[in-house]
Amino acid sequence: MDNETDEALYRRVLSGDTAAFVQLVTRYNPPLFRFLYRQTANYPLAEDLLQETFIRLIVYQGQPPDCFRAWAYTLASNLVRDHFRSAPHRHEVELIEDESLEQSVSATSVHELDDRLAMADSRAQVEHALQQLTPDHREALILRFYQDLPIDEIATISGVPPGTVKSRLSYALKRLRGLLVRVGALE
Amino acid sequence: MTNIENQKMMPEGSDLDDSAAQWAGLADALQNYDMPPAPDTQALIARLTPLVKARQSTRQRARLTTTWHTRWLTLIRTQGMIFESSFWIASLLVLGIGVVVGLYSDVGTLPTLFTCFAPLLGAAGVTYAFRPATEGLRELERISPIRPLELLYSRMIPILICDGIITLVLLTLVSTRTPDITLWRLLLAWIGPLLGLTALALYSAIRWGNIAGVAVPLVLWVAFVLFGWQQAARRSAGTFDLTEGARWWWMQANNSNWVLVGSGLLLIGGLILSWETQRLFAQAKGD
Repeated sequence: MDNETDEALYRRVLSGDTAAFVQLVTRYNPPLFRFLYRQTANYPLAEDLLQETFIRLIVYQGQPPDCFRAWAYTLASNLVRDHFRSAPHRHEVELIEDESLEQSVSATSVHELDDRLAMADSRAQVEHALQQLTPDHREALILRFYQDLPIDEIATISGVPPGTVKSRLSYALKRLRGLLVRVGALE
Repeated sequence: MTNIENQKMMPEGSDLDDSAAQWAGLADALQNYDMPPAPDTQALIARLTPLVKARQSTRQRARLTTTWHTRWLTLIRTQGMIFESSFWIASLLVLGIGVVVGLYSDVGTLPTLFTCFAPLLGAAGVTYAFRPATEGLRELERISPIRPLELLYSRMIPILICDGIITLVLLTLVSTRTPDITLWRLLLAWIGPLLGLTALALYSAIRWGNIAGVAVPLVLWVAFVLFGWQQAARRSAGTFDLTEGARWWWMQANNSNWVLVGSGLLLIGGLILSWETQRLFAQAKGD
């Protein structure tokens, strides 16, 4: 039953149905991975977070959510936030700063960013430009323009009102455009 | 799948007035962000399927080995362990101060205000004490085998028992100091509204959601206070003043049969609602 809703499949997964689980993973593996990869720009990390997202979906004991897709993205989004707040991530950033590496992901210097992005191809330019956005802005942009989710669902995932999502999108686009123009990827 | 349409790039309601062509350029640039392939789905399924199977067997085992009362007792015991001694000391202090203020402040509005707002202070304290400190903790609560409402129950019960014991001791002291007070009437006048409003809050939260769970008992409590105020003002024929509010309430609790009947009804209503809440809760869980 390929046309079974996500919610119905998830209810079956929660009762231990492995066939439903196969269908659900097949449906959600690619989009969740794309979301996580664009958020982190790190393949192994995105892979780990993807697996952790599915584990949390399996071990969940509460009432099944009304909208499975929003629920799954919420879990993935929280995992990304936890990772960026985690001690290993902060330690990593501190090490980079200590060694004064010019390619630090937290670089704020425009010239430094220009040099780095100019050397990369267009894919890397977009990837790095996305990483310059704040996590909230990046998340809104990815969910809207890559994952194709409606504003209301993004609001549910991010736990903010729809108006906030719109303003985040507006700011993210403006900033992204500025970054891409600066490195010559856009006119 | 990068389904980026040009019109989506136009931020809704923003202060940007750039042309559609300009945003189309950005859309093209973003579309250049191609993705590496997703991890192998079959491998992921193979790694995680044992967890799904384990979930099934755990559910079956749990159903066979636990009964509802052993489960609740275990839950309450574990929840009780998370309270630090400072919490109990603070509870004792707050209740103690309330009684002292009521007994020894002969004049002033403090006793009345304390009486009116005591339940709100308690509710605010519980909310603050158990707020999720971070999003991560909120998520842990959400994926916990125990539902948030069960956590609320199991956390409230130890508090209710402890505060009940403290109050009983303090009210006993009050009754010894003022012999004209009948202890059982005072207790009923206190516990009836408490149980009634608490049960109403839990029932509303399950039936209509968290906002109703907060709003319904709050509105009812304010209505109680205003009604009591109006009655006091009417019966005192214009001589009632705020400074006498708490004392008036003590006298009503001790002497008025109507207060006694009202509290009794609230107590019975609270017990019925608690039972109904448990039934709704079991239905929602599919037990």
